[in-house]
Amino acid sequence: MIDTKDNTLLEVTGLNTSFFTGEEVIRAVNDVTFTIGKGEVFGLVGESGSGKTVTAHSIMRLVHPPGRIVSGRIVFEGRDLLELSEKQMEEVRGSRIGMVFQEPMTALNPVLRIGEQIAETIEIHGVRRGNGVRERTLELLRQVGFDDPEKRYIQYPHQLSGGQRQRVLMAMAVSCDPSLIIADEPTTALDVATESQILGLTCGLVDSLGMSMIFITHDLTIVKSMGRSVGLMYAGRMVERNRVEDFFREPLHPYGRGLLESVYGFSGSAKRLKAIPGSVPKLSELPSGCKFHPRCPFVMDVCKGDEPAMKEVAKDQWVRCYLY
Amino acid sequence: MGPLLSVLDVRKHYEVRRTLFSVAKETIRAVDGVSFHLGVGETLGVVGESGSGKSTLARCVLLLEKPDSGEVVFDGVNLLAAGGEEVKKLRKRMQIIFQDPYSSLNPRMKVREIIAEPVRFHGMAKGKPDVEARVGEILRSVGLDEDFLKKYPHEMSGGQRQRVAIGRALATGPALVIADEPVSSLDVSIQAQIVNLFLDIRESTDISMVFVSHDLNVVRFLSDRILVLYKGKVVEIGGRDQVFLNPLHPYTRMLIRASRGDFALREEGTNGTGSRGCPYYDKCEDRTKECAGQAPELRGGEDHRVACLHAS
Repeated sequence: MIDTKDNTLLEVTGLNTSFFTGEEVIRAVNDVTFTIGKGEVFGLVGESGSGKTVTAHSIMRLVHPPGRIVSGRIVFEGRDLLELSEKQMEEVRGSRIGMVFQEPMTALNPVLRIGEQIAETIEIHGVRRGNGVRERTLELLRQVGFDDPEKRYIQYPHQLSGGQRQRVLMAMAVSCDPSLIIADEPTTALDVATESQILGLTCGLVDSLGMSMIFITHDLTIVKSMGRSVGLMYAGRMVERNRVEDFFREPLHPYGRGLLESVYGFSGSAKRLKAIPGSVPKLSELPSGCKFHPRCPFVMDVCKGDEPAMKEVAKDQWVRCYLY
Repeated sequence: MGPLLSVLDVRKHYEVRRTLFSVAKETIRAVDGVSFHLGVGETLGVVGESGSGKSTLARCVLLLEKPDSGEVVFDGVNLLAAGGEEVKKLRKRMQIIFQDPYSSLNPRMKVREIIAEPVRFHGMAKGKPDVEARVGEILRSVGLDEDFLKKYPHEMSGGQRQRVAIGRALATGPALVIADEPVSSLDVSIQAQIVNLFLDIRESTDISMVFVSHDLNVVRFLSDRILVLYKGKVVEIGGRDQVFLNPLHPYTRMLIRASRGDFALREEGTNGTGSRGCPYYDKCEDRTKECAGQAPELRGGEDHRVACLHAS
């Protein structure tokens, strides 16, 4: 066992995950470090290509060739997941860490009844046996907000709406009582009304079951209302880790400030939005030094040299920037 | 002066088979009796979730889809009754900007050709030097320099491509621009740049705009008036501040709450009402028995109207 602080559930340290395509090496996740406490909801935000999903897949060890976890440690419940055998890892997936994906239709088997799919998860992980499996399945369907679990049990995925399918996935993710849920943009494919219901349900469920959650999204509004802490990613790096209240009051990283101004500048009386200039760099053509420096309003000479390291500026507040 | 554009009771229904092999057909009422007016220089924001009929409405206005019934009157001419030549002449003055600038730009054309094509086609400039000058001017107006003339779409970022698409739409000097989710496919940090570009266009021209988006914040920032669409029907329409500060329809209120990150916990409704009742009945928080029996009419004053039995 590796010693961890009492309340820590997951500790990711110096994670590097790269994709080796031909002669190019795409460093999708670069020196990412963060911890998640028991019962904590951690919002992982960033734009497309920032490395959020690859980070999640690395934790689950679901990075497939040509991708590979190059280095780092992922200590979960006292064990480094990167040192487990594939067989041991299979036990962790599903039973200790549950995952909810973005597209609920592709994540469900179209020719199996809803109840059978949930029951299968419970049986594989050996949580219950015999009649207990069916009972547990009906209980889970009720927990994710279905008034008529018996009817849902015998339905097929195509008979459900997108929001209902996402709830079934949620039921499967929590079915084995995991201590961590990883939700990767679970509401992006849904319309606004359904999204709002699913987010409400997810919050309530994770809270009442005492689970921790990594919630991956590009939508700052969702993080604001769901997370306790937030990790902001840019170009494969985590550039800021902060408490949600502090991040939304006064983000540390210039990129965070720019994002908040360009999203929430609407509500003020400003005539124009303060936009971040330039565009998101491709991972194959990253600038030197701080990856944000070509777009940064506070850029200094030092920013173009070596890349800044993550620095703790106050308790639970980390930033990767030479301004601090 | 009358409105530039009047859309009157436009309907567009599609018939689809319920499953691959079924004989029974289901009617999708994508746009179901929508009416609105748009004045010169005015921007109308159209909001609604996916499937509400926003895009179909946008396409019907430009006759990219032929409405089943209704009238689309542009500059005094009913497009549905007008002849082909007349529509072509009016097309020059109506342009559309799509969501995805990658699929809306020809990948084999350089930016110069992409913008020069409509300039030549609609006879906005004649002779090579004039066309070149016009293309350069348009490019600058969307915030790109002359280096971009030689680029292909794949050599540009999403934001730059969307600037080119906007430039192409402005190239014919249109009176009406319809923008269908023009920022949704862009990275968050780029969206604000494009929103500012639309703001510049609004301020420096008297182009009328229909701005379609599911993002209430963007719509609020850019629009003079707001139209809220739900299942192909207008549920609320009014001045920007009337709608945002005093939303009358439960659906509008839900959208505004969700845009602030205030999420509801509520069981999804079952399809109980059929086609007779209020389209929002299934999901409504304020529904009563009466709502299941009759579809509410749009009512209220000229500056703010709502389709809800319970709105006061």
